[in-house]
Amino acid sequence: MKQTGLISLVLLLLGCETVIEVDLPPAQQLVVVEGALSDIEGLQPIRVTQSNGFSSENPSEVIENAEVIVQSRTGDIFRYAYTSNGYYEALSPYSGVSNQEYRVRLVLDSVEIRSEWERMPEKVSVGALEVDSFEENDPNEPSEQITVFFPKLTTRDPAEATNFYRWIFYKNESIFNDPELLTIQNDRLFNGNLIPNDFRNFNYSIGDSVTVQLISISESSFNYLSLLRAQITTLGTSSGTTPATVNGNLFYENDESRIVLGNFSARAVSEIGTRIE
Amino acid sequence: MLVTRNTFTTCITIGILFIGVNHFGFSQQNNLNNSLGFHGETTLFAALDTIRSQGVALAYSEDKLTNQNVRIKRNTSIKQFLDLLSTDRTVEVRYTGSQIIILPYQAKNYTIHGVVKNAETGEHIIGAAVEIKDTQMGTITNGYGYYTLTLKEGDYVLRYSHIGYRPIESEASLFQNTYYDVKLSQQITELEEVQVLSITDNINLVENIPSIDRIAISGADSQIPYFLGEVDVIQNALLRPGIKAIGEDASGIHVRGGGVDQNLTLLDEAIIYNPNHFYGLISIFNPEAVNDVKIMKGYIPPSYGGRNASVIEVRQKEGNANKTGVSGGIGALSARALVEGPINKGKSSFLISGRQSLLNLSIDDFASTSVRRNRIRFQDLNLKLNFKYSKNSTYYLSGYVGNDRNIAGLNSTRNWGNRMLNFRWNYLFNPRLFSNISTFYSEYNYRIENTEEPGAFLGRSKISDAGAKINLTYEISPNNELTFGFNTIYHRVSPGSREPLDETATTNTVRLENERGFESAIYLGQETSIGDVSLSYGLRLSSFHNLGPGTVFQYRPDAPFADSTVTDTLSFNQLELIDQWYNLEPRLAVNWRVNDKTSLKGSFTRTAQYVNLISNTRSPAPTDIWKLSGRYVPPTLTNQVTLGMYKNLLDNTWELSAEAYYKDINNNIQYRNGADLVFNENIETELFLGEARAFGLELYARKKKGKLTGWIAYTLSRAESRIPENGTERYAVENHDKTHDFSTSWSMGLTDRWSVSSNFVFNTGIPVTLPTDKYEFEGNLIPHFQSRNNARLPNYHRLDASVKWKGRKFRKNGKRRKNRDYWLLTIYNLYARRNAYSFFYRESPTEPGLAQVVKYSIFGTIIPAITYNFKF
Repeated sequence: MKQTGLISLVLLLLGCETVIEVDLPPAQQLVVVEGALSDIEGLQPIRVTQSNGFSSENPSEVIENAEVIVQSRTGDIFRYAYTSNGYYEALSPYSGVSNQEYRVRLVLDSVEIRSEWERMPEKVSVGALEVDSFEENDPNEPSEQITVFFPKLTTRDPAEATNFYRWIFYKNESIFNDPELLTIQNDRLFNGNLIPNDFRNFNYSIGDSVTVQLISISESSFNYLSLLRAQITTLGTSSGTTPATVNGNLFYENDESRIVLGNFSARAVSEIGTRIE
Repeated sequence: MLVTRNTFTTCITIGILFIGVNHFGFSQQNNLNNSLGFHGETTLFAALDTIRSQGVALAYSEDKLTNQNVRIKRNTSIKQFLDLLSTDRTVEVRYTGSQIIILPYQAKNYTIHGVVKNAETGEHIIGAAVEIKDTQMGTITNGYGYYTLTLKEGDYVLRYSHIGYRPIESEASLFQNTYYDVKLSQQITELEEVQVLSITDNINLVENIPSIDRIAISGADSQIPYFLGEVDVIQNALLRPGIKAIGEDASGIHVRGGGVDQNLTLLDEAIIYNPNHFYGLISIFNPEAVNDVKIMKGYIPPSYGGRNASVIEVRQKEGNANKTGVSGGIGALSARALVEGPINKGKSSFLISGRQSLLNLSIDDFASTSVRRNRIRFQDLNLKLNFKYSKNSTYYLSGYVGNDRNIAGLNSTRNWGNRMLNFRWNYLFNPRLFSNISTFYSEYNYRIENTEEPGAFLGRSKISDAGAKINLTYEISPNNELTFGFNTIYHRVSPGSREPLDETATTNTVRLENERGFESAIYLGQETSIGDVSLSYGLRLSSFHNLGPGTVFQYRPDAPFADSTVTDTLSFNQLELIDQWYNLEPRLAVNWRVNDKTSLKGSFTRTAQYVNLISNTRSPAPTDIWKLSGRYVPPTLTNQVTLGMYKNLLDNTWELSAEAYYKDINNNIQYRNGADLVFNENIETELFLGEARAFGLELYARKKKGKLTGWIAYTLSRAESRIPENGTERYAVENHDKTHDFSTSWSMGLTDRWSVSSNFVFNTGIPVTLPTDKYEFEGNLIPHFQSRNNARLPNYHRLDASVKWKGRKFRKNGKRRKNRDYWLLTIYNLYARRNAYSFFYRESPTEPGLAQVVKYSIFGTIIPAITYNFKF
């Protein structure tokens, strides 16, 4: 076993990554809309930016001059105003209501961009939170073992509905935002069950605060995040998907040939937290 | 001598007497018993006149007969004299009701047939040359080692030869059908090159079928250097023109622009669905157990079908029928061993071979930091038995079991593998009619066990085939052969089931509906020659019957297939016909022998494929599922045209070829952006059908004789498929397309014990999709892609080398060692080239907001390895 491990280690060292410069196709500079209407009252920020050339030094350009509103099917209109860094916020706090449909509308240089109607799902309780642990080698001192804590949640999936979930984790108010940790689920295989989730990839230490959000999302938002995750985590591997535009639910009102990036979702949030002691 | 003329004469005489007694008039019979009345030397006409003058009704024409001298013994009767004329083939004597007709002698055709065997092991040799000395006539042994030659009666010298064997010559007096087995001895060393001109030397000119690659596992090919010293059939094939893989860590091969599922891979005639171990790093074919490999990538004979791109025919060894032996080897990647021996000496034999990986690795791990959590290993077991019941009848039983096991992370274990069992019967109905009758069962399955919640589950998927084939070959005359037969396969696909791992698991049970279907074909083909032109042509009528039970979703006619556009479901009962297809597949190959050194060949092949691999990743995964043709996934149809010139130089020392091809593929399966293929019960909503095409030029030069042997191969090609993109459609190059693909491989014997080998490959980088833009979403940098495969990876090139050192043949006391062994040192990636495997895109770890293009190389350094191989 020792010898086998040694050979594996040698082979591990064979692979290598090199940052390179390549000639890239010309940038398209597309509008990007990023919005998530929550059932928790707030200013429900929406970000409007413009994509940049892949090799440019700035990640994106902010768009400050858009007119932004969120509409509900029932006729409510929530007007937005620009704040900073591409963010627009509602003029007054509001919250979404489950089973209501919402959409965002932007007017940009006299051209209108809309999202599809997005139904806010029913909230599903995040359930009970436990903390479990495992031992592993200390990355700094491989000869030493450290205890790694991770959250376990037991959630009851409603049997009567098809549910789509997204999990978001915070450690000491800081979000786990690595693309690899984008965690989404649907209930196709668990409908109506009590689902015990072991989130071993979200690691905590003693003293950390743990906050977990179970977010109910629509099917289209689930599909969008699923595609987004595949595009940012699998490209370059043998199991990589085909690189493609990640289409959300936004479009130009009068021009189907133009693309709008990003997505507008309506989500119901259930939250729980604890501190590891 | 094969047959003595005395024996022949006796037989003929008895036969003629028998006919005479039963069918000739009584009075004539009395006359015939009269003495001829003279003896000594005379002419034929004078003798016949004398007989006629004795009242025997004799009819002949002096214009048609040659008036040669005949010698008559004392007291010879008329009957004896006529018999003598007949047996000496001076004339042909026909007894009719009232008279005797004398005709010029017509030489008859007789057939010599048999098996060419390895003298040491008794195994049949495939592709051995059987030729008539000093003529252009001859044949080669078929895929089972049999040969048959039909010739005018007469005396011949036949020469039997095969690469790596000492040729032998044998005199044959062919005056009746003759069975003759030949044993060829292997050349002792690679330096012991026997320079004999054989029809196998110019088989590339003679053979009608263009675009065949034959891969030898023994000889110089056994030391072609590859990763960690492995000898691998598929990796060897990649050095030939027109055969490509997407990269080092890629499952499957692409033949002339075809998909990895478009190769009909046969192991002893049973279909193999996943011929890879280690996610494609090496093939499942244990070199220890492989006898012969043939890849048909252009013309596909009518006896084969069901795949669009190629036929990869792998035959296992039969086992030594003369003595028990053990061989094997051990290297860094695997250890293998083979035991073979006679069951009934000279008549039947067995072979058992096994292989076990020694490394626990996955190449994918090289990119991640979790290698300790990801382990893969594999095993193979090969079995073969053969029983020679009589000279006309031989039975074979062969089997294979292979398994890969991957432990990913802490809680997930995946197993996958092929199983195969084949029973075959070779039977000679008569010297000219050879039959091969086989039945087989083959299976590919995977099993996933995930103990981690949520959804600790057990997942399974399987495709299994049960099939039967009857193939008959009838030799009408030399160079004129008829092939016909029938085959049928019952496919059963279990696309996937997912069950709770135990009572405490929370996942629901999901079982996708099984698919079933009969794929059948009848075919007729002929190989014949007209002057310098040889033809192979035929017709295959293939069919596929998709059977219930099953469910077919109905969709709104004006809308794309989607869950939301389902209007109805149709249910079908057990064995109820859901859909059926029939396809006529014409095949034609023409070979014009321009002269002794040059051939021009052309071919047309149409194929229908009724089973497809559903995979939308860069390289297929072992857990991808197969799908049978159904209501919304009709058969994939391909037409391929090839045109080539073949030329041999310097007494067939050099073999050159240039071949161009064009193929179009209809109903090519493509995938919607973000297709969800996992446990999807209406998978047609994720697919669409398109067109694809491939074309290219392949150049090949091979040196076959001398101390230095090897080849140079170059392919200029393009493979593309029609895709919808940005509101329009266009042809985009396929992920595996390589514009230029150059490879060369050489081996040289230095001394009796030392030899070296090296190969070099160069190819255009595979297509890659470069982003145009980047944007932020939830704080992450996202690349935006506008146009698929709009750039290429950097060019790929690599040099490998190997040194082979054989153990001594003689002991110090001068006695010959019973065992043979050799060491093989291989150096992969000799100049440590960091070839790009892929690009990936990320945010700079040090400068947030700055996007990077990262070149990932799997092998960034030189990889030496030593293997030890033995045989005793």
